[in-house]
Amino acid sequence: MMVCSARIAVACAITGWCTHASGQPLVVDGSIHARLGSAAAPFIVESLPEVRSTYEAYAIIAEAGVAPIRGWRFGTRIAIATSSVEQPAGSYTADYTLGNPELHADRALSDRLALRLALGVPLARHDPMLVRDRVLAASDAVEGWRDRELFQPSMLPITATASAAHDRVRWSARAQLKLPLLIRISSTGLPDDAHGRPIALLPVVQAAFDVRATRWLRAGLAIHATAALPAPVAPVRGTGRDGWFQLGAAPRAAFMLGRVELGVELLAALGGPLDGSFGVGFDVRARL
Amino acid sequence: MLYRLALALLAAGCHDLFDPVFPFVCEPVRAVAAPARLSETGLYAAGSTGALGDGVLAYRPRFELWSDGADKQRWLRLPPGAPIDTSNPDDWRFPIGTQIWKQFSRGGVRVETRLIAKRGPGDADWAAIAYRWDGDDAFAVPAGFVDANGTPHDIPAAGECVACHGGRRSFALGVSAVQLAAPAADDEVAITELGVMGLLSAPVPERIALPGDARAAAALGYLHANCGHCHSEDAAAKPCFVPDNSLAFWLPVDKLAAVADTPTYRSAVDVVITPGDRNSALLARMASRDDIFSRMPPLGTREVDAEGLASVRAWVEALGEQTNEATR
Repeated sequence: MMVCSARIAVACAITGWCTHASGQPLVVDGSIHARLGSAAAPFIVESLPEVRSTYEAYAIIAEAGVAPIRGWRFGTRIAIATSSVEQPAGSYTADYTLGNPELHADRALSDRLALRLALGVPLARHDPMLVRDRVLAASDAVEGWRDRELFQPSMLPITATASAAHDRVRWSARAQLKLPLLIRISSTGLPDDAHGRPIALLPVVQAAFDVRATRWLRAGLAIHATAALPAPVAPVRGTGRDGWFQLGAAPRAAFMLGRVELGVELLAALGGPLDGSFGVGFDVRARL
Repeated sequence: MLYRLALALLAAGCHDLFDPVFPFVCEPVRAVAAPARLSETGLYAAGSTGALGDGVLAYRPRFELWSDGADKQRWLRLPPGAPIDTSNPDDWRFPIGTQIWKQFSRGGVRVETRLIAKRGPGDADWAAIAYRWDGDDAFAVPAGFVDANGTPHDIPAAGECVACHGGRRSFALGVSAVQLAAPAADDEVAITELGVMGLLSAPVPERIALPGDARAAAALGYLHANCGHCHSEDAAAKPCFVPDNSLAFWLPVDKLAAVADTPTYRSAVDVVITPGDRNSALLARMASRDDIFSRMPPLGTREVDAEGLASVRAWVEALGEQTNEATR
């Protein structure tokens, strides 16, 4: 959850998109989000053209921020990818790795409009055995490719985001456009039969609507679309599992307990290269 | 989808975050000290990928592992002057430097060759790697390969080899007393030939008959080759997953006097084999390919072995006939 004005607190609580700052001199917020699910995603080499994590694919994203002055917020996001990925003979191998931590600055333009500029720290790296690459791909897939800048190895992400929110007493609507630009910093560990592109653009458009069912319960639905223009890495030889456009849907319920919010969300890929991937997300958000 | 979701939630609720819920977990082999090309391993004469190298011996086990119908060839090479320690007939111990290859072909075309090599004195000191054929040579694929060379053949990752081979202390599953105690084909070796060459440290019977009639022997042999490396009475074995050890299909040489003496009969009949019931639990799991939690074998195969299943089914039905006759 971001720091929010009272007016659009509902939207912030449900989506975490809001970047408005309150009039308080110092507001600290934090959230942790864990998604568990099953992933199927196209992969970057002919030998393993698809990543399958049928029974365990986790993505954990922790976020924290502080709003020291009105209209501004500074924060960070850290992603952890951990999955058991299926190997060719049918066994599984498990691993975990850090994604790309992100530092960001939010600027509230009004009560309804906000901008974010984020810089990623490229800690995720290619693994010559491709295990961590596959773990990152599985975690990225259970997130529906909504936050790809957090999971791309050996790329420096620079992300600009614009968000808008419209709130009523009983309902709210939000929209967001995110433009992650990824710049390759290394090709070490990238297999010979994968082509690492120097630059990739992975835009995401999201829209969400939610209603306030009771004082403590909110429910809603978010839809997103994302594209790879182009993908950061592609197989040198086509694998037949390539794809550049993805849709996803995420129904969600949130329970408000004072300053703490507990949410549950089911995110499912709608066709596309991630067809069959889904994840149940659990999150806790707090504001002090 | 709901079933998979339930499994995922079960995983979250019952296991540590970084521990896999799934029992079939093979750690990746991150440093495989093996030649990059098959032609560099010693299988072939220098400059060739057709003529065998010096000391390379072809062999064929009596009972083969089902590999989705792939044609297979196998070779063995021992270091000069170092015989196999055959003092334990159920788990031969191989000298350091031993190499064993298995080649898979589909439609007459070579797709894959696997290599296991003994690297140290311990039972677990084996390295394993698979090579994918590409043109005139085959190249190491430590992470494996799906649908190799446009066929449905999947090449296992190096870490997955332990899933089966780690089930026996000997590691070399097809090079054993039960599997080689039979006449060899031309240009191949079995116990007789290995003995003549002085490659066995202790005498091994040249013929080991499996108990029962032909149906029983075929079924017991099939289960030995396809199930016994995981389901056995060998408590020292370390496969990379935990099979149901209440079942044992490996055939020890000293338990072959009668069908009822075999671990297969003692552990499985009236448990997963109901005499006369062609839908016994074991047969149903052998016939399944839908769910990795129930299909058998769980790894390394996509297709049901219809012929192998039929042979086990025939034995199960015969057991029912024998039971009925005994009760009359």
